[in-house]
Amino acid sequence: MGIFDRLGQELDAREKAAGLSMADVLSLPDDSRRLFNWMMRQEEVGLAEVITFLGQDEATVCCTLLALVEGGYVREIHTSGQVRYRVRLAPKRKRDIPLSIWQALDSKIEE
Amino acid sequence: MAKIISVHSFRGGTGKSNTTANLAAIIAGNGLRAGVIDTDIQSPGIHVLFGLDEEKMEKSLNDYLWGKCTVEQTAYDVSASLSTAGGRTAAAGGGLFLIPSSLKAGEIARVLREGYDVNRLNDGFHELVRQLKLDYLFIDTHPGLNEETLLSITISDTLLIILRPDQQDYQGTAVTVEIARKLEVPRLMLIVNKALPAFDLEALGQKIARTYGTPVAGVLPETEEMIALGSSGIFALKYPEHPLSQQFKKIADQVLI
Repeated sequence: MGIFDRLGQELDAREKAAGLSMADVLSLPDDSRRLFNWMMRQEEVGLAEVITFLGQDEATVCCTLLALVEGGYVREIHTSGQVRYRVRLAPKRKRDIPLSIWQALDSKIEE
Repeated sequence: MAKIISVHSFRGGTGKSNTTANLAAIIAGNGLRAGVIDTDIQSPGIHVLFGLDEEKMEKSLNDYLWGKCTVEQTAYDVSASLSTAGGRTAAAGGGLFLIPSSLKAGEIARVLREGYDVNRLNDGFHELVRQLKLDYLFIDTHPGLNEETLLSITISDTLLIILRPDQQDYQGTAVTVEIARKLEVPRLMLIVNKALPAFDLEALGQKIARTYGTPVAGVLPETEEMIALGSSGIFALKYPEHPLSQQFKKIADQVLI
């Protein structure tokens, strides 16, 4: 099984939400995590850079990137007619605290 | 090429903000452009060391995260703080910039309640480097492990983990080192802070480096002067000849490599 099949399985197993949380990245298999770490450190990457990083042919890398974009884990940035790719991180979750506690805090702050 | 340096500790009270401020000030004093971003959104404080009055803080990182302004609009030029204490100024071409988090209780509560777009924080780090033409961006993190911490560790060129000679710190640091290795941080160094001066500091540093298999950039002794300063200024500027300042400079030299 290839790394992206395993990545796909990992991601499918997670709760469907836009983007990856950093905790998700941390728990990915080594080779998938390595790709995300690299992409985040580069800020954004082009197709040629991904091909070099993965050492795979263009068609395979295009399929991989398409799957990641469709899965909501990578976003496409269109700049000057070129496509660049960025990791899409999930929004920081809201704290699950009962509304009454927030209301009490608000009223204290307003005082 | 600009370098991103995260300063982190597993537990609070290790001297993270003090160390960050001193390293950034020393580097800016050497004619480089340094930025310091306070990502400790839940308990911000590093602005105090730079003498930034929160009443005069018009915009903060919180405003950027909520899409109210650009990230560079939240940056304050605090280069003047380099000359207030030790008579030192930023060398030609140098500069020191601070991106504070809000100290308003309502705004801290709002971040906790509503969350924010982590992509925006990530984009902001890179945008700051470009817009302020920084040589070094220091990220002062929240202690422990959370989304911001993991993000800042991941995108860092260098991670400095601060620990005290304390059993709880030792255990927490082991966890952080393991995670940093998983996230493939290119350069990882430890800083031991608040060591009793009676200790053999060199031997302590060597032992910790061996234990974690990670270089120790410096061992900082606890000093009365630092306690007395009480975060009201930047130690290495106020006491440039003090042995503790020499240790800060030694660590800064290693960051610059």
